[in-house]
Amino acid sequence: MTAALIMLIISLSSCVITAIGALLVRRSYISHVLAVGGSIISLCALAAGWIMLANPTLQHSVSYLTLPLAGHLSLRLNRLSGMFLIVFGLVCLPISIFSLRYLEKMLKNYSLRFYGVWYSSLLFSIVLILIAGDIITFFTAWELMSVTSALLVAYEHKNDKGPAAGWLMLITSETGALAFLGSFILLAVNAHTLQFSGILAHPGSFSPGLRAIIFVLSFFGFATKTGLVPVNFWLPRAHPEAPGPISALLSAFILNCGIYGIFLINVVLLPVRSVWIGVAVMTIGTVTAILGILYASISDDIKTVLAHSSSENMGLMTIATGAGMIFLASHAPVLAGIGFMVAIFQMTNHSIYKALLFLCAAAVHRQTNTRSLDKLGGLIKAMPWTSGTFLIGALSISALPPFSGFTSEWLLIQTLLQATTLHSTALELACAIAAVFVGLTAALSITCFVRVFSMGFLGHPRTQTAKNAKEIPHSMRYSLGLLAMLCIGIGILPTICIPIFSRALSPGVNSVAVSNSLIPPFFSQIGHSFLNPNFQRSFLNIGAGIGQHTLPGSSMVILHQGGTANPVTFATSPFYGVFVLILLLLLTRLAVKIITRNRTKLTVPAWTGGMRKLLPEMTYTSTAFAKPVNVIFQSVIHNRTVIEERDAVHEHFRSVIHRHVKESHIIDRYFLEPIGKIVVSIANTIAKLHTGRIKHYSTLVLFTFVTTLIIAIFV
Amino acid sequence: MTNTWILRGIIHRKKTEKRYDSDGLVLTKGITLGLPFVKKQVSSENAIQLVSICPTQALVYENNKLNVYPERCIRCDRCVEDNLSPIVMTNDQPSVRWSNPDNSVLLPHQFRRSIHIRIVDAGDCGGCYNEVRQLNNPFYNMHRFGFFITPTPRNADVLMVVGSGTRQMQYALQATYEAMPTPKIVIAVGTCALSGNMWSKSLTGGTGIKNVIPVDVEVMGSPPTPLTIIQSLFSITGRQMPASIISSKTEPPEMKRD
Repeated sequence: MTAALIMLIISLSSCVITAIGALLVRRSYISHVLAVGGSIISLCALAAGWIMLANPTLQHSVSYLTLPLAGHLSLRLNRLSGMFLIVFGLVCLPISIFSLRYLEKMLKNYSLRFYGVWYSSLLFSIVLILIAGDIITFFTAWELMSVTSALLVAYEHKNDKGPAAGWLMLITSETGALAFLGSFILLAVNAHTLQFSGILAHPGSFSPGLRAIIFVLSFFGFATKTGLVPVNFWLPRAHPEAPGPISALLSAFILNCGIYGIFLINVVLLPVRSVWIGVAVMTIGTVTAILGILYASISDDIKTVLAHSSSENMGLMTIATGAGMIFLASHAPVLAGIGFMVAIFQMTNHSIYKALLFLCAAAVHRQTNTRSLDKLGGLIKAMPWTSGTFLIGALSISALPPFSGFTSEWLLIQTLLQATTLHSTALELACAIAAVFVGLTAALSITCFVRVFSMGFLGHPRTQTAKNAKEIPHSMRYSLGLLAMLCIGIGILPTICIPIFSRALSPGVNSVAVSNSLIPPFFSQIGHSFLNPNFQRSFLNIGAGIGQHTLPGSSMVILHQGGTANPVTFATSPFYGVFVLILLLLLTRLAVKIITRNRTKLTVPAWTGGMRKLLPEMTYTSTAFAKPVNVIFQSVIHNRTVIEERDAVHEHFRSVIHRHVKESHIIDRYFLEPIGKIVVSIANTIAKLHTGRIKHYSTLVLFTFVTTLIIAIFV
Repeated sequence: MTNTWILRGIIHRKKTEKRYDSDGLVLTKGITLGLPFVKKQVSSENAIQLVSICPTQALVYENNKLNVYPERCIRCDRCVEDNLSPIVMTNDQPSVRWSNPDNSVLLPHQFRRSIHIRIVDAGDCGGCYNEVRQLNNPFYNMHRFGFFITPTPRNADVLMVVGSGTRQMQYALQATYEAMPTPKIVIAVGTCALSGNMWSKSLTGGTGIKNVIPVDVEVMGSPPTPLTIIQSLFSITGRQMPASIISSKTEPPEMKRD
């Protein structure tokens, strides 16, 4: 633990040094300082996280300051924070390397000094949030994170949308922070301490009503950061406007801070006891996932697509968390552990591939100056490295087998299907519906990312800038390559990752039981008691035990055993699946070659519908590709005609009709706009007092004076 | 609105046209005058006078003989208005024929049951295309024979062309032909596609599609009846070799331009 503490201190102090360095060095070296500083911060966080996760004791508190009224302020090093720190390190390292050359583009228009200060403050606050041991530290760090991330989103202030997006983000974030501060205060009042460890040790007594209030306040508060329905309206507005590395960091890690908060309050500090809280969390997650991917499939801006998709992935994590809460409340600790483990697994996957995709989008934006999919196209020839890594990220996020997203989504659906062991029809039905929606989400996400990749990177370039694009510099390529390798690695070897994730689980869950129930020790122990012997033999017959004398580790197979209520067993092996996939591809290629060996091959130009020249504007655009989704889900999307202009000659002969149809977000329609209307009507009511006549104002002053006097006398 | 098609089908039963008459002969007739045929030879003055009233040079006086080339005839009836005219319009003449006398027109045996057809309108007046469109309606119902229309030449086995091959459509026609996989068959439907009809004299009207792409099967008539077109499709799949297909012909003389 001392080593972890030293690493964390190095990490936090290098944030400070980086900030000072950014203020002092010459302008052209600021990006270097940030890259080196960011790399050191993330590597130290990674090391600290690894040490904390490997530590056998679950938690450790270090007091660093004593305030007169509040008592000790402390850091709390535990395995859950360790897991989050590892993810932070894995994501922040490539982002820092990437930003070295990316910031050159911003240097032309903006000074990078305060960018550097805010960036290092953001990293500082993130590390501090993860290791905060008391409410004051946590809340201060959270506020620092909210403010600095809003400032960074609004950093490119010369375009109009940036500052507006920053303000929106700040307002939402502060509302959420106030809400979860309420829940923290309720917790602290009941436990008579501000320390998390104190609350854990003596939580005090909570009535069901108080528990519900704490849940609602904290969940709403953290949901604003996580981007759950109905408070995710800021997400697709703020993320596209942020500079490239910042939007990657926002989407890949800062959203996870909300998940961390939900875990902290509802799983660690005050484990849920009511299944209905779990069902509510799962419902919100389902709605978020389906709406997120729906709007991702129809957006034109590549970064907006990714932002909506982040919302979707956060929804999936929330579904897993909700399922875990249901199992926890129904006294099924192993299944609960699997649920929470899936949430962490999905979070890690999402952080890695979303960082990759956002960095690719930033690279495309840097090289072509556009983010509109309708204006891109044909980048695979000009930017093969970016396109290849983007493809890996897109395959991962679409949950296709040899890549990282597959196992977590598979486990999510299987975990939801395990609800049959609970013997409650309502819960079974809720979980089954959630599973169906997860399936629909996965299918839509494939549509979405087929569209993004094919319209952005394949085909003909639709504009001159897309045609003249050049490949990104080497340092950026390496950071993309690092993330892509992580995607493939986790995808092929989830059996090695699952025990790591399950170590991060909360105290109520036995992590060894979780990883053993998912990955039975086929290789390390023959004849173990986790599986029925007959069943184990049948499994060995189909090759689950290949290489049991040579391979280290427990197994290459992930298993989900049903109980007596549902005697179905689900198993998959991504590791063997890769070999089978390669074999199938080779065999298919061979078969095609044998079948077509006598065919004459004719090479003719592409069929262009009889046009003399196929202009790039005539090719299939992303808007056209999204049309079927747009039509099927029209009742949700509600397309609106935004602008209709008519240019006319002599008022009678129309020469041009411009018509722009834009999709409207369902949250805007049913949540944001009613709130706006209410606020405006309140303001209008108050405005009636402002008549502009001096006698009315003096009456008001007199009235206020009299009221104050009355209050002063009687209270 | 209720759909009454099912009810109608039950009441009226089958409405599809027969392809055979009661004697088992193939029907190619429709509401058409048929093709011109020289019944008897006449004196040179009469012949030259007849040739002069033919607008598309379908009647040719050569080697002291009055010849008629039905692929140029547009059924204007000018030559048969007189009862004493040596020309008659008859339906007995074959209206589908192959450009090459040998069997190279036949598709391989894999295409015997089903073919996919790409239709290109290379600048017709709408007459021939209207007849081609009838092929898919409930009366002629080409699908029952396994003939399908496809929107892309990439999937097509047969290219069916109507219209005279105008200058603007020549590139598109060529590109369509080149985009088709082999083996491929071109069917030219109607007088315009075969010879250019009235507008062969014009600069941009086109003189038939054989100047653009090689034609394998010629369907004569202006317009030809749908059953005739189905007949041509049967002939290229090798499912039926009707007597109306002749395998030899004489080339008409070069068309005179004003």
